[in-house]
Parts: sequence; structure tokens; C-alpha cells
Amino acid sequence: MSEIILDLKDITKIYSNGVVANRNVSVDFRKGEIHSIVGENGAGKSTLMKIIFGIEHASSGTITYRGKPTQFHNSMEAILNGIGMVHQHFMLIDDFSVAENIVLGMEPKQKRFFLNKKEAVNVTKNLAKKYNFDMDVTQRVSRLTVSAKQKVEILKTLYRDAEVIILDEPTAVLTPQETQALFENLKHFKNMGHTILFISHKLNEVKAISDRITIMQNGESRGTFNNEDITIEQMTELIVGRKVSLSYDDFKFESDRDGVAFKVEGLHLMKKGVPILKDINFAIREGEILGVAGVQGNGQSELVQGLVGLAGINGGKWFINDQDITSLSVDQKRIHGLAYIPEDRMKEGIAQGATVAENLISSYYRRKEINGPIFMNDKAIGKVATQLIKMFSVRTKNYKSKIESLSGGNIQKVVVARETNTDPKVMIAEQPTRGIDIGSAEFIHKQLIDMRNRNVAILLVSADLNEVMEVSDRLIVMYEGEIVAHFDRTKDVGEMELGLYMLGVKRQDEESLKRASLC
Amino acid sequence: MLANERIFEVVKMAAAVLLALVLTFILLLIFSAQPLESFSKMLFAPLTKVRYMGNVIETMIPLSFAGLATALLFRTKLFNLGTEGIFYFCGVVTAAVATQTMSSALIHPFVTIMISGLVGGLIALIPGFFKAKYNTNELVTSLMMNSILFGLGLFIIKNFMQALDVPGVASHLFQATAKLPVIIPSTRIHFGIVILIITVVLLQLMLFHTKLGYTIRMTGLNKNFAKYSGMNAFWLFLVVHFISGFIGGVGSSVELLGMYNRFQWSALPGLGFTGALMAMLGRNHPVGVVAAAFAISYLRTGADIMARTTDVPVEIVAVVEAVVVLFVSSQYFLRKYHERALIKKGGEQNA
Amino acid sequence: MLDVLKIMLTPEFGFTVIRVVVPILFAALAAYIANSAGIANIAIEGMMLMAAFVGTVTSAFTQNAWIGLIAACLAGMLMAAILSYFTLILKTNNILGGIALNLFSSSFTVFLLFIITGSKGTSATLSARSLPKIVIPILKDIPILGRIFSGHNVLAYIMFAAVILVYLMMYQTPLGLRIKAVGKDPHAAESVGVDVIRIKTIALLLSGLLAALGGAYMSMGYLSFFTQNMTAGRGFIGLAAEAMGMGNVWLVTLTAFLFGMFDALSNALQLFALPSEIIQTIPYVAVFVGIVAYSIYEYRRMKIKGD
Repeated sequence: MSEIILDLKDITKIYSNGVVANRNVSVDFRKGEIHSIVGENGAGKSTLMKIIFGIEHASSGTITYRGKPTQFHNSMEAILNGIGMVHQHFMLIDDFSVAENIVLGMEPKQKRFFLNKKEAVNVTKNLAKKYNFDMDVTQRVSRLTVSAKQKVEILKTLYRDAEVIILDEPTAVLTPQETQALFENLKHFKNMGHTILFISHKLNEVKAISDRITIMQNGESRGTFNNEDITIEQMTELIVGRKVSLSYDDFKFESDRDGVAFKVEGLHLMKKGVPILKDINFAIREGEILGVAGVQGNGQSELVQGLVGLAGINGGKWFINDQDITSLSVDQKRIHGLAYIPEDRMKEGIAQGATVAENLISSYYRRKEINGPIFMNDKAIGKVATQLIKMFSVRTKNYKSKIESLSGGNIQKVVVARETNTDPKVMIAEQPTRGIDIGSAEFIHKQLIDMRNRNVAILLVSADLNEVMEVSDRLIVMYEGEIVAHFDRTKDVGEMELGLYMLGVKRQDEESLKRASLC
Repeated sequence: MLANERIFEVVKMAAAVLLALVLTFILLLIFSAQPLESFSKMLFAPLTKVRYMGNVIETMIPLSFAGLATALLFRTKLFNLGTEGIFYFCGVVTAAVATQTMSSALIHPFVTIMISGLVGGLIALIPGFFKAKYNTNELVTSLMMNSILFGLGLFIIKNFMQALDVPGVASHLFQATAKLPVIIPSTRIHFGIVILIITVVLLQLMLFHTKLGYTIRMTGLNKNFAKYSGMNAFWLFLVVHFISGFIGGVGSSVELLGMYNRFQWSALPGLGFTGALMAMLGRNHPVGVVAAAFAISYLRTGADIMARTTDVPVEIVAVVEAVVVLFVSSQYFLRKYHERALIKKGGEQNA
Repeated sequence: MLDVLKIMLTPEFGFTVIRVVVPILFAALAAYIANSAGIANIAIEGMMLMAAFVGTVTSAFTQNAWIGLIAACLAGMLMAAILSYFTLILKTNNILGGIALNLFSSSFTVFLLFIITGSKGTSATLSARSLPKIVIPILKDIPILGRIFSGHNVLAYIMFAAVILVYLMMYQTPLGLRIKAVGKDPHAAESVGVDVIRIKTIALLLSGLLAALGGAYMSMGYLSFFTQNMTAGRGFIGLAAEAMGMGNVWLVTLTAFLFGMFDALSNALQLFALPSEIIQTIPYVAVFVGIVAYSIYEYRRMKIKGD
């Protein structure tokens, strides 16, 4: 057994809004090990890591690092002491080059005051070579793929001589193949003496890479285990405290699947001379969920934003029940039966500062049911809101509470409730369960399937492979703005095979791709 | 107790006012020969005479109108400071109509105020249109328009309406039929207060009980959300600008017809800018704006009385205004205590 | 029309352009640095006004223009410090905070002016010192250039130096890299240990310093005394010039000069028998038209890009 480098004792964290994120968590990390922290969203993994990294401060408890009691006041102190963190959302400046991103904050200088740009490039080049990363460090970050961006993030920590590297859900955005490559790198780091803290909720990955595993549930530690001492099933039970249903098959009725409800023809989009979307064609039947798989940044969000009318599209047409809705306004599209669960609920899905009720009626506020001749009918609004809160079991004091006082999962339920309430014909759901707890995620999945059973056509875009594979009926894969694969039955596809399409290694022939349009 | 959001807001406001007053007192200690006297005059003098309280209300009326006009824009997250120029130019418009002969003392002020409001609304549509259509920075355009409207207004007064028997910038006398009547004897409080109350009630209803108000509030809170929900920002920005300009124009007209016999503003009156302060202090809430206008008018009246009898100029009120506004619009001011109270509460609940 | 053109082609006109562009360009540079750090500094106008006041009054009391200039700079930076405290620490909306500070300075300067001079209009009764004019030896003898570029107030030359220094700082120093990083993505900057609040504060202080130089010029160069609200929107014109400069120092400078030219034009046209009230609006009309034209350009560009 090697020495303990970082030791947490009885860490408790209560946030300023009264939420207890960690309660009496004790865990130790050894030099040169890959140590996974697993648990569902909201279990307190991220908070614990932020405490180690100095972004958050423990309300009580002690941290011993390299044998000395420590509490970093900010991330700079943690960095200076050899702790690095790769965040779930990339912390990169898109307009800067790879080298600039890496040296930022610890820039090589010349003549005392000036930036030494040449040195910055050389240092980062050598660093990349040393750790088996192959990349052009003078490239702008905005041009990199997701996995390359992640490499830049890792290089940032290595440039700062990180001995302990925290990786927060690093595989969430990767294909299976990229994950494999990352694991190779991590093992290499381990052999070079680095300690890796690997945060994840994907248990098979955890099992594949870790030396030891700590399981968290509801802010508390359920124990630390050697990899060989615990099975995936045991982990699952510890994580949720109950068995989860991993399949939604029982909830899906066989629908008549006749008419085509939504049809997209020849969509394309150019930005700054670069094609973002290239000739996108697909169709969705009534009562069918079409999943869109793909690594983030391959045109999915542009596709969705374009379809709902929030961003421009250069060419193409789309139809609801054969009615052309291409050039209608957002409002008109909604009136024709389009609904949309946006990717970023805080940015687009809700208005912070408004009440739950006000957030529940935004796509509905002009309906006669909740309006009088001049004034809005507060009573009717209250009734609609109360009903939706009940139907979607949104946990809130009442409909007059401020939306931001709700948890992420409950906020997302508000969004889903609102979008369902307009009786749409077509629903576009973009990352509908990102970053929310398993309970809410499961609930939302069931809602989507319920809509499908009521003959709504659903487009489900998600970076989470499990999600698209479990929930959708048919599946398309997007790579560099194109549809590169189409599967008639999601059940028939293997994860590794899907990965090959997501990476652009494989591509189906035109005949197969044509079937995405159901003709 | 501090855990309650409403109570915390009140405590915060009180603390800001207290801080501002302490600062004012320190300034008086430095600059005034009779600091205590000045300070107490400023704080308490308005209470000593009915006429003084009358002054408070008279001052409050234009500040409220300017504040309401600005608050509506700020609510929609439109940082437009054009009320100043609208106040000036609509003053000229008011002068033009009020100097015409009209038979009825009922219709004359009504017509004048409506024309002034309409012109104000149309003027506001200029930066409003460019903002709505091209996302032109409305702060810059509105400020430039203030200077342009001032030049234009001054030009019109000097060349077409200048009273030759009066020195300086001055229009001809308003017709007696155009004046707003005084409604409380032994003060100069005029019918404008009634117009103000009507405006506040209408705005309050519009903002919190109509679809338009809902759209304004949601757009102000999160314009991405509004767009996503299918709300049309283009029309909304136009409508909001028009209403705001209309209120500004009405406010200008009411002020002139209630308080003056002729147009005599030789510089921008500063009322529009103060409107921005009222909006901030009143949290962009119609009733809040009027309350803020009352408080500031009270202080200004106090300071005015003080300035007449002591060595301190009225402008000292600016210190109070700025300090209070800065602290009140600070999200984090005193938040530590609020959070501590919340944590304590949270700890108890979770124990 | 031809007469106007004739005037614009004289070296005197060029001289006037430089004379009037100084406060605008300083304001534009101030806006540029603040904006690079991600802060819309609306308070530039107020910072300038405060600096103008403090500068000339201090020079009157110390009988030394340079001490006046230093005091002006300190005043501008103090205003910047107050703004940083409120917007960065207490999280006041920076536009609202800026508006409050502007209103504060316009009244507070009058308050102090009255206390000190007994007048609310100008400080002309004080025997204040102005900053020296500089005649540049060799340059002054070059025919046209000499008459355009020589003989300006020292702050005009500091302005030219400031453009270059600001460029060097933003593009060639670690501080510049960090300012840009903080402006583009504060979370990313924070993740590598850059102290975001510190960097933003530094940027705001520098912005305050530049604004103060512009303000000091108003009362110690352009005029030799303070008058009520003497900056007359120049801070905002600077902001507009910055907005149209698309994040490029040279373009910002060019736009400031363009606005300076209209300002000079409005001065020159006073000689003609035209209504002065209208003539005086020319610079504001120019900025209005400029910023609208720019936003239309941006709008079209975005549309083509498909955003």
C-alpha cells in the first residue's frame, strides 16, 4: 500500500440556501492510484471535489494533504500545491490558442514585462509530447473537437505540475472509443506517479479503470472499496438505495405508427464559410421517438435551434403533418404544434426571478382559458399551475414560489410540464435530463414515453448514449453536421458500433440513410 | 428574521439610507460651519409647514413621471436614458400648444398633455426601433438624442416662440385655459397629482395583470426565455418605448402646466436623469417609483430649505441619492447576514 | 458647402481635430480596457467630470498644474475603485452603478464648486494652472504637418503614447492576456487560478486613469477652468467609438478621430451664419448615425453567418 496523499475527515458542507451537500464524508486518496467517486447526480460528488480544489469551503471537517492539515482558500492555492481539476464543462477560452489557454495565469515572460509567446508554444508542445498527446498547440480552441478540448484541459493541469488530478465526469462527452483512449492516458499518468480522482456515474467505466471506488449517496459516503471487492450490482444498490429499472420497454405501447408527423428536408447551414449542417433529411412518425446520437458539437444544437426558429438556417424545409412551418415565427411554430425542451434550462427554459406559475404558462399565456377580456385570469392561472405541479410532482411550496428556489430536477419538470401542456404534435427534447437526479430523470423519460404513447412525435437529442438507446425507437447518428447512420430499431444497435459512427470512422451508404426519411 | 426575503429587503433599504445619511453628515461636518443645523433642517424642515409639504408633493410629481417612464424601460432591460430629452422637447411642444387660444379650460390641458405625450411616444420610438430591429445600443442613442433634442428644442423656442419682453430663454405666456388647476388650497399642489395616480394605477394593472405586462416582465427577466417562448421582442420593444415616451411627454406637460407660466428651461432640466434614480430606488415597480420619488422630493425640499438658510447647496442630496441607489441595487450588500440566517435555519431543519 | 470643405482642408482644421479628439479618445481607450475585461463602463463620463473638477481646483490651490494632473488621476481612479467595489464585490449591475455614479459626479462637482467658489457655474474665479503646450522642435518647421501636430497641450501627446501603450499592454503582456481572458470567459480564467476580481479591478482602475486624463484635459487644457457638466457627453461619445471599434485598438482610435472631426466641424461652422443650437448638435448626430450604421452592419453580418 502506498502512502496517503490526501485525507478527508468528516467533511460537511451546508450551502447558503440551507441545502446540505455533504455530511460527514471521510475518504482517503493514495499516491499513484485511480480512485473513482461514484453516485447519482446530486449525491454530493462535485461539491466534495470543489472543496478539495478550494472553490467551495467545508462547513466543518478536516483535510490533510501531504501530511499537513490544509484548507485551500481558492483554486489558485490548490493549483500551486499540485492539485488540478478538469471540470465537467470545459473551462477554455474559445478565442485563445491551445498554448495561450495552457499558460494563462502562469505565462512565460521576457524583458520582465512582456509575454514570451514563442516560449509558451515550445513549453506546451513539449508537454503534450511527454504525455502522449498529439496536437497543434497554435490552433484556436474553438476549432478543436470535444475530446481534443478535454486533452487541453488535462494539459492545463499538467503544466501546473498537478500531482493530484480531479476529472469530473470526463467521459460524459466522449464516444466509447475516445473513452478507451482517455483510459490509456490515465493509466500512463498513474504510472508516472499521479493520483487520479475520477468522478462518474457510469459504473462499467468505473469498474474498468479504478483501483479503489468510493460510493456516495445523498451527500454521504457509503464506503470505499477495492475494485475487486465489489460488483456493479452491489454498487448500484448502494448508489440509489433501491434497484432501478434500466429498461422502459414495459411502458411503451405499440402505437399504430402510421402518419408521418414531422418531416425535415434538405436542411443546411454555413457559418463563417464552414458547413455546420449538410443536407439533413429525416422524418418522425406519430407516436415515435427518434433519437439523435453524436458527440457534442457535431451540429445537433444548431439543428435544434434552427428547427424551433431560434437561429437561422440557410436552406431546407420542415413540416408538421405536411404543413410547411419553415419560415414561421417561433410563436407560429408553437401554434402549429411544436414544443421544445431546451438544452440549457437556466438560459432558455425558465426565467429566474419569476414564479413557478409564471414559468408554467409562458408557452400558453395567450390561451383563452387563462385570460379575461382585458386582464389575465389569475385564478385560472393558479388552477393550471396547481394541476401541472401535481401531475408532474414538482416539489415546490406552492405555485407562487420563485422558480430558482427549486432543485435542478424540479425546474426541469416545470419545463417539461409546460411543454407538454400545449398538446404538441411534435416535441423536440434536447438533453432533457442533463445534470438532474436519477429520480427526476426517470420521471421525465416516462413522461416522454407517455407522450409517445399519445401519438406525439418526439425528437430526442442527447449526448448521453444510455439515454438515447433506452428511450428512442429509431436512431440517427450525427457527425460533422451530417447524418451518418440510421437504425430502424434502436434495440439492434451495439454501443461500440454506435461509437464508430459517432467518430466518423464508419458511415452507412446513401440507401440506408434515405430510410431516415421513412421512404 | 433576516431569512425572510421581504424583511431582508426592507432592512437593506433602511441600512442604505442610514449609511447615506451618515455620509452626508460627515460631508456637512467638513464643509459646513453649522453642520447640525443644516442636517436637521434637511431632515425635518419639510414637516414644519403645510407649504413645505406641498413643495414635496409638487417636486414629487415630475420625478414620479420620469421615474415611471424609465422604470418601464428598465423592467424590459432596456437601458434607455432618453426621458431627459423627451422631457425637454415635450416641454417645447407643450409650450406650443399651451400658448394657442382655446375656449375650454377642460379641453385645453387635456389636448396639450395628449399631444405632448404622443410626441414623446413617437420620439422614443426612434431609439426603440433601432434597438428592436438592429440591436443598436439604446444607451448611446438615447443619450445622443438628449443633446440633439435639446438643440432642436432650444432652436424652436428661440426662433418661433421667444417672448421678447423677457430676458433669456422664454416662451410666450401659456393661456390661462391651459393651466392645470391647484387642487389643495394654500399649496401649489395641482391636478397633476390626479393624473399621476391614474397613471400609476394603469401601469400597475398593465404590468401585473395583462398579457403585455407578463411579456414585459418575462423579457426583462430573461430575454432568451421570452424568445424561446415565442414572444416577439421587436413589437414589445416598440410598444414599451412608446408607452415610456408617452409617460415622459405627459410628465413634462403636467409639470409645465401645473407649475409654470411659460417655458423657461435654458438647459436640460435633469428630471429625466433623476427618473433613472427613481426607477432604481423603486425597483422598477410603479408604486415603488412613486415612493422613491416622494422620499427624494422630501430630501430635496429639505435641502432646498437648508440651502436658503445655511451655507450648504442643494446638490448635497446627490450624495444621499447616489449612495442609496448604489447600495440598494447591490445584490450582495448585507447578504452575508441574510445567508447566515438561512444557514442557521437550514441547519435547524436538517438536524 | 465649398466653403466648409475649404475650411476642412486647412491645417488649422487638422489642429482643431486633435484638440477636440483628446477627451474622446481617452474616453474610448478607457472604455476599451474596461470592455476587454468584460465590463461596460458607463461611468466614464462621471469619472472624467470628477477628474476635470479635482484637477483644476487642485492646480489652483497648489499653483502647480502637474500636481493638479496627479490629483485628477487619483480622483478618476477613486471613482473607478468605488465602481469596482460595487459592481465586483457587491454585484451591483454595472450599468445601473455607472448611471448612479454619473449623476453623483454631475451634482457633487457642483456642490463642491459652490462650496469652494460660491458659484454653481464655473471655477473661472480661481486662478488655476493649465498644463503646458508643447512645441516640437523639428516637427514645427515642417510645413503642413507642423501646424497640425505641433503646439498641442502635453496631454495630446500623452494621448498618442497612450494608444501605443494600451496596444502593447493588451497584446504583448501577461496582464493583457489575463484581461482578455477574464472578459471572454471569467470561469475559464478562474479555473487556472487567475483572480478574476483582481484583474477586473485593475482593468477598471486603468480605465479610470485614462478617463481622468481625458477629464483633466477638459479643465486644464481645452479650457483653463471647470464649468458645470463640462464633459457634455464626451465620455459617452468615447463609449460609442469603442463599441464601433470591434475590439481593435486601432479601429477604436480611428473612430474616435472620426467623431473628433465632426466635433471640429461643429466648431468651424460656428463661423457661418447658421443657427448655433443646431450646429452644436452635429457631433451627437454623427455619433447617432455612426452607431446606428454600425449596428445595421453587424446585423447584416450576423444574418449572413446564419446566427
